[in-house]
Amino acid sequence: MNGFSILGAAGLLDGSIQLHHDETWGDGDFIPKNVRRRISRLIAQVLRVTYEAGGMAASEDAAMIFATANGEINTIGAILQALLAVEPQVSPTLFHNSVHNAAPGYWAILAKRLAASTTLTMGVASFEAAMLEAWMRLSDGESEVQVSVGDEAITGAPWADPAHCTVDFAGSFRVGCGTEPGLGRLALVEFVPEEPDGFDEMARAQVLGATEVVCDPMTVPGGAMHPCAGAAVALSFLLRPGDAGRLLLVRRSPAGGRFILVFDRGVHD
Amino acid sequence: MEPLPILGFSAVSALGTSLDEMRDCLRAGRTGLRLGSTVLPGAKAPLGEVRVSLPPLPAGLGAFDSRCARLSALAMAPLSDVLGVLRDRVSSRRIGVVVGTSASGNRDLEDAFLGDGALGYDYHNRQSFGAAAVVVARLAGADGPAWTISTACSSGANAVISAARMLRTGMCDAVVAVSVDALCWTTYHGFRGLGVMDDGPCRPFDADRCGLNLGEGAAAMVMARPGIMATAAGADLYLAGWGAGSEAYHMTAPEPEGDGAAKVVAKAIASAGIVPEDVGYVNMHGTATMANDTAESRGVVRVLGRDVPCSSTKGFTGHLLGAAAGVEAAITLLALIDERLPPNLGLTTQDPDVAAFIIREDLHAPGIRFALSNSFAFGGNDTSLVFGVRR
Repeated sequence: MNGFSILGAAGLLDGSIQLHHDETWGDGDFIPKNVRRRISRLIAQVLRVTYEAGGMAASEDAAMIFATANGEINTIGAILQALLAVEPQVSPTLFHNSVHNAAPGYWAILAKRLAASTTLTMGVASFEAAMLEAWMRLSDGESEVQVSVGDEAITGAPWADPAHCTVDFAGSFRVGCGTEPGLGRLALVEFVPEEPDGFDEMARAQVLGATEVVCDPMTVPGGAMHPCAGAAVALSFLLRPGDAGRLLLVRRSPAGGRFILVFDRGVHD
Repeated sequence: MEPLPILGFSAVSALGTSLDEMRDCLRAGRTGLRLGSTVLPGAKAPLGEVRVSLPPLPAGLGAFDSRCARLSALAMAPLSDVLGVLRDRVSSRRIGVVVGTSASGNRDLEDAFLGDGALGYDYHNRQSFGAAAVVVARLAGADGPAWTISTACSSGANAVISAARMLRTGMCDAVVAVSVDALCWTTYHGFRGLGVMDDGPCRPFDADRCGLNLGEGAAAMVMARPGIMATAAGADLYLAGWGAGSEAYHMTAPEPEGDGAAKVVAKAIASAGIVPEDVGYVNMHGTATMANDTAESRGVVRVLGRDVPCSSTKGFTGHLLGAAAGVEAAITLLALIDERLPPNLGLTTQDPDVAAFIIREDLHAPGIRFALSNSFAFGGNDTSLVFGVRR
């Protein structure tokens, strides 16, 4: 089990808490002002972590896989409000921001990335499913992909259950085929269909030699609910100073079965 | 790439709920676009509405009920036999599902919101775009990995590509790729706001075109690793390759010289291991917007030349957004089976800036072996799928 190198990673929680591999943290200046005033909060946060994870250093062939559970839910909420008018008018900016691949689209434009980016969702297992898509792409010949995740607190969609996402969180992982040590390794991603007798996480952890096991994370650091909490767990593990270790992350899919992710962390100062 | 057998496919659109109905409309040049809608009452433009009563979802799936879910179920129904045989051949644990959708059919949410503010509406099961894959996985009896892809108007093609990767990497033995979108006010007013909606029937590639018409529908395709089972699709069809990429140009406007289109078409035929002369037909994205049609023609002509027959079938169905690529893939597969190419409805005077060979009438194509289906999207997300048939 060798896997792929984690070349960079970054996370942004509630707009203030940073999960990052060095001391520098940009202020989003790479986003031109004329773009910044047009994009949603979610797009801004996803662009920022994609940049902070070293996205500009990636090859122009590095695709972005954007994982999100709710996508542009607050933008859709704003459009629904506009539909209440007698003569509804939906602004073009609001409309094109409402597509769930808006963040990869803006990233392609800003970073001049010509690769085949995509947006993927599977509810609370969106991050884990996106990592499996990344694993498949790397196994199928792509040299590098960047998995960026993000969901914003549900504030503008009163018809959605706000408990599904109570805090803004975005994270990004650059994953490549090279042998560079990077921040660690994505050692394994697999999907285990539903087992009649359940799934024994601890037995699996023992087989894989995991030093930490996290099953079905629902909360990000601080305890807020977030559908992509698994990404926050992985970031915390990879960026935490300390000894080498192996994390087994297990996430049940809303469609049944489980995604299994294994991360290796090198020794950090 | 190694060809991936297509075991079965289906499509639901304004042209009907079966492939035979769709084939009849394409042959007769009969559009599914109509003024007057029950889904969007009062709409001022023709719509490609699925004008049948959509059956309720099977027992146990009621919590996911939406127009989109019902369209998916309708598209899946003709594939129940092939899926049954497939589940006898491979474990359901080795069957994956990928759904492509753009808006996930906001119509039900809109109804609820405009009614009582959607109080008590179960958004996360009925409308969230991830739920679309949960529904299809249960309908297909598939227990392998499942997810939804949402890249606006190329969603259906990217779903096929993601599903194909499941096969190529050995993650699955068989996959079900579904694309679906339902008419809704969000996209209707969104495209009106962009000023790209024709209040008459759309006219792709025409000099006087002024925009698109919206439609709805769903399509399903079952693919497998080679050697799993014989096809039930009526011919020895396969996914031969694909090209995908980002234009990195503008959120809604295509790069005007067609660089994005040219790049994915060139990647697609390279992936299939074929040369331009092998391509017998291109089902164009052809939205009938001024910007798309000239850019796409330039890109296609640059790679394939001026002699390859091309048509947009959006004059039949309207633009199905997230379902467009799936339904147009089905039309492309029918063209390969029947050796007949669908005409480009609405074309009176071809735009002089469109150099591609646009088909005006149903065209015989004896011996055709390869055809492309293009789909482009907001965010500059471009795709081209290559389908082949063995004769």
